[in-house]
Amino acid sequence: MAASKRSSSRWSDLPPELLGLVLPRLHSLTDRVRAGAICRPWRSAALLHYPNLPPPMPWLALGDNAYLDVANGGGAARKLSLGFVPDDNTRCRSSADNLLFLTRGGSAGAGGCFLADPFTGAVLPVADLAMFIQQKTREDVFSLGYSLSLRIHKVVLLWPPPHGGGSSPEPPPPVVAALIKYGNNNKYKTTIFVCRAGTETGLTKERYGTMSINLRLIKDVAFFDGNLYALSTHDQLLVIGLGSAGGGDNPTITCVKYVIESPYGQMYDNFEDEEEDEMDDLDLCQGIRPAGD
Amino acid sequence: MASAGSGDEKAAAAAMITLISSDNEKFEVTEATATLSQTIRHMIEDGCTDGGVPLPNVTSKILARVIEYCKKHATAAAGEEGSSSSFSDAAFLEVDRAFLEELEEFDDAFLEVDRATLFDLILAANYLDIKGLLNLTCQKVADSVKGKTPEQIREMYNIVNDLTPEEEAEIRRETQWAFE
Repeated sequence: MAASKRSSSRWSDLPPELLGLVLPRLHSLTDRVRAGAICRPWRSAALLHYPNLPPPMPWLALGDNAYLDVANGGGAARKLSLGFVPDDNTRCRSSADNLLFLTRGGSAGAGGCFLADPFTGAVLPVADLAMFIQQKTREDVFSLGYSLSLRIHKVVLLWPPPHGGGSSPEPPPPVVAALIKYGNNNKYKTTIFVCRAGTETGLTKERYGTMSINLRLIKDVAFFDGNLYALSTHDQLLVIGLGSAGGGDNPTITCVKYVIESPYGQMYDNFEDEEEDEMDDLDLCQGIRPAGD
Repeated sequence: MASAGSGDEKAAAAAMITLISSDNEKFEVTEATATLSQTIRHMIEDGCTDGGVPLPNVTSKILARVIEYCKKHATAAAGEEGSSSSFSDAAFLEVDRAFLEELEEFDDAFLEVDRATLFDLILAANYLDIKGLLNLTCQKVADSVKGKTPEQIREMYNIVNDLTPEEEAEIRRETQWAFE
């Protein structure tokens, strides 16, 4: 072996396909990124393999903007610096694609809803959703004298299709669909709300009527091929058609259809309270792919 | 281990294969041991192993280690076949478990090598297509870099950072969080 001091060992020339066998064995995203920052050959090999790696171990949201990388047995929690000022009630409620969904102020997010990139710190407000929650809470107080407990159960994103040609301006921000559960005493109702992130439409009651729909007992939602699918606790699958979701406009709910019906009868329109159902054996799973080489 | 010069016993030669390292050292191994390598298995199937199998990419030092691994694991494979017929027998299961533990201990001890040897073992396992050894060595590398900073990894593997300032800046810009 060469005796020259400043030359690399042969490890820098580990063939890319062999580094490709090492990378999937790193379950922490941090470790994978660091392995791609060692030297030029490792970097080009890592960039080659990143798209085909199985998903890394998830992070645990601890509240207070601290996140724990659960791979490698934890370690120190990571504090993220995000492009907005979090308050004591800022919480990570969900994650969608590579973004965190955060709410500020109160349990539901009346103080603001945000999509945040945990890596760049970039923040996209979801103003219409926050406003919808505020109005909903206000209506409850007005009609019931108290507000129901309201929780954003899940958030999913629909990204605009990639634009051909590099000259086009910034692509529009994603459409956000939120599954909201609210109620009290173990009884809950579910509402699906859609809006576009990053914009504010000055939501009115008439307007949010076309952006939200009350559907009974929805337990999970997912986007597929430009449409929103919802799964009920009675194992029904519905497709929720969205108008103008593809362009830059604000989405509206145009129709709801059954994909799979159940014998339990009609699901939508006016909902009634139901006991919280313990049937938790079905979920919509996305991002599933075979574990290839 | 039979080595060069003891090739008189023609009777046993039927099931024996001769492997020749890059520095021309001969190793005589059983077919069961040799065929843990898919590369050698294909050579045997193609009938081109007469006069020995030259392995120009593997030194005698590394080939000796690889054969040590294959011998142990060939025995394990034979043991598995033997015990499968009496699978319900609790005593056999007990023996199996003890053997698997022993195999694990063997693997751990086998990996107690310096970084240069580990590198050669990975290349040899890849060239000879020995899946178990390749998995074992790649896992060793992965375990060694877990939780380490790039500087620590470079030091461990004696790698000089040849990234350009532009590349460094790009990495920092995109993934600063991973280096804090």
